[in-house]
Amino acid sequence: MRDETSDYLTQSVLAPDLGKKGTGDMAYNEKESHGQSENMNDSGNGVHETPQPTPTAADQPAETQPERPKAEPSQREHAVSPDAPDEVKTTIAALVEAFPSLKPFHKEDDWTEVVVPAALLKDVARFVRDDERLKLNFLSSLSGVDYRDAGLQVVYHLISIPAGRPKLIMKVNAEGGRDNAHVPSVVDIWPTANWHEREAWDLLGIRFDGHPNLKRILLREDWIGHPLRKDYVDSRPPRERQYKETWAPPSDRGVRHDES
Amino acid sequence: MGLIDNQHLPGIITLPLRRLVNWSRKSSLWYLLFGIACCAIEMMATGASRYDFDRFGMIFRASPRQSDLMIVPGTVNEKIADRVRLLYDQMAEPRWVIAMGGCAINGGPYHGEYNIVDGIDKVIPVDVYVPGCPPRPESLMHGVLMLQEKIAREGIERPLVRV
Repeated sequence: MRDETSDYLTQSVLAPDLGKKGTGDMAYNEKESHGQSENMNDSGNGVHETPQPTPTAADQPAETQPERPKAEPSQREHAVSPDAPDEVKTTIAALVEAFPSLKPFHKEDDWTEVVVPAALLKDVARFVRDDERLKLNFLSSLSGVDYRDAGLQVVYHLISIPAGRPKLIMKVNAEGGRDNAHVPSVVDIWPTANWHEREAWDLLGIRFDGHPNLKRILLREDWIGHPLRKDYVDSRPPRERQYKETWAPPSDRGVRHDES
Repeated sequence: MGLIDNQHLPGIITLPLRRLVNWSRKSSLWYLLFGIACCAIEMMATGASRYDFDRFGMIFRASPRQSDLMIVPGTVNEKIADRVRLLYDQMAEPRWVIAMGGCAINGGPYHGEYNIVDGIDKVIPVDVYVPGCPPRPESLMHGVLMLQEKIAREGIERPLVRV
């Protein structure tokens, strides 16, 4: 039995303290290995499985989640198929060598995906930018995602301009729950993250620790709420239609120079 | 307007002053150079040589203080609504407004979305609505001709079209 949230969980490993379901490191590792085995079996497209319509996220604990064959330990260490592009193999090797706790896998084409704990984000980001094999110096996009009960996530798309092909997707689960979701800022590593992070704060309410100027960028500054959240309710008062003074009722019609 | 040809003096035209004023106003509508979204592309095309707004006596002015007409071309969101209102307040009377395109009329495809003002008539009074997404230059010119008819009637008869 699967539903949307379990898709999210298997595809993008969520930090255990965020969702209601994750209870500890065991669940964390179990879910992560699910994500990997799934990506090995059907080339990383776990999202495309048809969601079952009936159950909601709340009444299905994470421990009773899909019984799919778990990856063998040997497979788990080499979570990349032999026919993956060389860039992917290089990226995965470099990441695992520097950060053994990370579990990068081949996403599709020449994209590598890795889920990074928020505490490690700054180190990993600085590593992938400066490493000679990766040189991921271009932050192509930084976007926020709202997974409802499972929490908020920030996705970084990285491209290497000098090295050409290597591409990396970093996913970071925000810490602190929905009301105080926060993630370390990477403005000092990729300056282009400045406006992207302001946008994610503006529309999704993810705080970026260490951002030099974290304020609204698209909406007006007195806006209430973050409208791209799934539970956002538009509470703006209705506006009245405006009329010219000359078309008001005759009793209170103002004197106008061209009305004789 | 009456033409008394050669009865008293050649070339003398008699007409009410009101009509003369309206005629001069409608024949030189200077519009504010002001674009919000994709409708502005069509407005620029209408002002360029192929469709040629100049033949209506319309040229764009970059200052609201020299403009008679504001064409609102595009989606009005909450943030720019204040700026549109500010520009409108800076225009000297008499002033007119054309709401160009579905977004400026009632929000169009973005009706009811967050941060969208559902129609510029919630911010400033509108004289002529030009539908389309975006309207072709012919539509905008038709809207301008309707506005000219409206201006020609001002102060002479009550406006027939209450907008």
